[in-house]
Amino acid sequence: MIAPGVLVAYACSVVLGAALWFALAGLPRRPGERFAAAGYATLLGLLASGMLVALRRDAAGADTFIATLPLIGAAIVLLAGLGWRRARRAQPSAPVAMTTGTRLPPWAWLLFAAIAVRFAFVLDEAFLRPVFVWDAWNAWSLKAKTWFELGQVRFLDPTSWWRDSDPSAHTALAWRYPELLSRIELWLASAAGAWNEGAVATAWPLLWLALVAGCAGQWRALGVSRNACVVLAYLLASLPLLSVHAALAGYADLWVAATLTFAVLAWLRWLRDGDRAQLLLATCCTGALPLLKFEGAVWALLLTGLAILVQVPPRWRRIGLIAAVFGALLAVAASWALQLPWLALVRDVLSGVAAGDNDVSRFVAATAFFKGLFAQNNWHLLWPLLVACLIWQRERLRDRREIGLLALLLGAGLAALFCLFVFTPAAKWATSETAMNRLVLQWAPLALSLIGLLLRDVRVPARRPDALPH
Amino acid sequence: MPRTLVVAIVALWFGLIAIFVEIAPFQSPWPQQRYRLDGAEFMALAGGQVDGSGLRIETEDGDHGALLVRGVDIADAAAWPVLRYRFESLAPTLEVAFLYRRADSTGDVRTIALTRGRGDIGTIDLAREKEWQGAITEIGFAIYPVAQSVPAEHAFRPFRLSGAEFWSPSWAGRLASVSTEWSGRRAWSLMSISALGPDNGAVRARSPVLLLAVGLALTALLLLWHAPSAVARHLRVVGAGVAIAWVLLDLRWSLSLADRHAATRQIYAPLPWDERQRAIADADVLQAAQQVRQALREDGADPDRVRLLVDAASDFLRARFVYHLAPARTAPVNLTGWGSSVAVVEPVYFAAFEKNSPAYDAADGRLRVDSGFSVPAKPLIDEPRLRLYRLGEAKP
Repeated sequence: MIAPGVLVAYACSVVLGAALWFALAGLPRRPGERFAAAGYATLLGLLASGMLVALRRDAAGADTFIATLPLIGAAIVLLAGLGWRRARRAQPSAPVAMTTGTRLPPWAWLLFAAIAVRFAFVLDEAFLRPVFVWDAWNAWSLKAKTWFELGQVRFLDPTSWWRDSDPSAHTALAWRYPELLSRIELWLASAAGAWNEGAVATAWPLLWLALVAGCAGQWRALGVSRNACVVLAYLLASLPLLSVHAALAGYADLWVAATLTFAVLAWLRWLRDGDRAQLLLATCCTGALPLLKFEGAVWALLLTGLAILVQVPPRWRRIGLIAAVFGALLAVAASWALQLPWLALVRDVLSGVAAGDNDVSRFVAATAFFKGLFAQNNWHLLWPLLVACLIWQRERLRDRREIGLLALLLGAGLAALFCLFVFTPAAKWATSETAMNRLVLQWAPLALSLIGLLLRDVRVPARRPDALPH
Repeated sequence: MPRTLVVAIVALWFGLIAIFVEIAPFQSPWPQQRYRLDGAEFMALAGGQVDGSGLRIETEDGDHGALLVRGVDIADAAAWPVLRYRFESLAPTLEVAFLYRRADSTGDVRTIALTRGRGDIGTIDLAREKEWQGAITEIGFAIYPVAQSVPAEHAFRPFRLSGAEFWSPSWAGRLASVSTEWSGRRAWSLMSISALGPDNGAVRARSPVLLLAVGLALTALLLLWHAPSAVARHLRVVGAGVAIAWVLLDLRWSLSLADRHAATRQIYAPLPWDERQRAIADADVLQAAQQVRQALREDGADPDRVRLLVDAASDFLRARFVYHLAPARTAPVNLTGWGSSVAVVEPVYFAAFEKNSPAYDAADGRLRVDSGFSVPAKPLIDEPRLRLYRLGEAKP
């Protein structure tokens, strides 16, 4: 049985996320928005809970939960008030039909059942199995467990740790990792009243479900038909490596995948419909990416850069690009001056310090990269299907702005991974089939989103008698 | 659809399957010879009981598994490249390895990890194993707890070995072995979080995902080549093919997930949460960590406030040791080095799990880190697998 405090913690987080959605986007009114709101509320609520926990650094154990609850309560009241005010100010408009009124076909219910069964499996697995996978206990859970027992003590770099006389100062291999995920774990453990790994791990299957629901809702809002959304939701839920990251809880990649996907889909909705609320949601998600994992910072920069570039008038784009390069250099220089840890990590990866000995040829690394996409059991037929759809529907990349931009973003993300794993010492992680697949996972929901948008307007002519073979 | 096109598509798929399964074209479709061994003919080192023609294993041996062996007289291993094995009621927490002894080196026992078949029967193509050659004098099966993800004490359940069978080379044998690899039961491993496929032992068959992708792509091209204008019809055919292929792959993954989950439920479902966290594959590391924390307290130190340098035999063990010691103020020595551990006025401790270096010189009471650097140390735990020292002169 899960502790009642944990259920309260999840409820608080989801209500907090729902209040944030309400404050930014109002009540769900368009087809699919209920699903989108449910998905975004779960993700944003958990992220916000982790951020609020950071404000209660002195509390330890179950006291962290007690100390954080008033903050969450106040945030909910504040956001709900903002949402209410926003709703009152908004022009009264005719309610938009949430559904088309037709029933789902029986096969769609079968697909829902398949998603439900998968969710039951991964939830039970995550709840029962003690934290198992390497980085989970080596990076994220180690800090959370320490904070649960001692309060949120500092994790220092080794040199500072030796110099620092504070007996609460800690160090660890992952001392420079972003800490939001560890704080979410701390929030859930404090609600359980003990370092209960099962209670903490249930966040991953819930996030998995939120990702599926949020994507389905946003696809629908982006004009994908209801039946196609059900099929795409099943395809997303069926991706093996995504299920693994939900079942073997503890890694940050599922969080990065969900946050990046939600940011991009909200951005696309803003581009398509001009809905400013979606831009705010995209901004919230993009802002959270660097707090989860270092790759998140890279993806956030990529998305932000592309989003700004799109808004710049064509005649200013060259100047904009130069300004972006200058800005990036400035950011690197500032990070160097402030000794920000992400720069050291990037340096270690690119120089080979983080990857250790490396004598992998580029050809072998490139082969391993493509094998990971097309030949392993991690993605079913996702990547071959994407390639086929891109070839088949290539005109839409030019015709439909949101499709072209999504393809460009996805291509840039995968190209960045390809360069990382083929042209740097990180090739070792491609041939060992480890980190490479986890980074690809962060883009997999967007790859499926692109397939959905590419096929959105396809109309297969109905079978006619004269089309039958003679 | 014209009959010739249907024939071409069927031929295409047969050809692709033959390529991906790696069927030798000049082999017999069915095995010409079979060499059957009943389970009852095997001998168990512990807990074995003849059950009809099979052998039932009721109790585990000292390694929480079972070892079943039998003498054979196989003059030429190459003539018997296909091994089929049948176990009943084998728990999902157990793995199986095939053992054999060759006449040219009777002192060596060679092992091959087996993939557990989807039903009770599994098949392996031993022709791909380069050590399977010459005369074989003894074969057997080792059944043992799944590494990494299963605590050995919770793994064993009674099972029955129905029998084993060797086949001469054939298409059927190759198909059966690839079918076992493609649909076999897998267990969670640390690799699973990064990739499925190589996560449990050797990869012995080509990718079924690639087979389906290539097959569907070539089918689409064939359809377009035959009738470029009938795009709508082709879309329906290829779309149906993609749907069937995806569902097949998903069914396979769903079954694999169910197998993995069955192992988890067998171990953890009966236990409350705190016992689950103690029932882990590396419970010995957890116990060592608790021992260290207790020894620190007995030395008058607060385990969460004193500097505790940590080392172990491998990166994995060191990291696990650190996690189990949490919230102790640990510092893995590969990260922090030995720093100024002798100079600081506060006490510094050093714990080593399954690691003999640095050596402790009892005569002068120093821990010799390397030839030029030693630290005054007082041993608090001095066991073969676990050592704990207080370094320097400072007292807690």
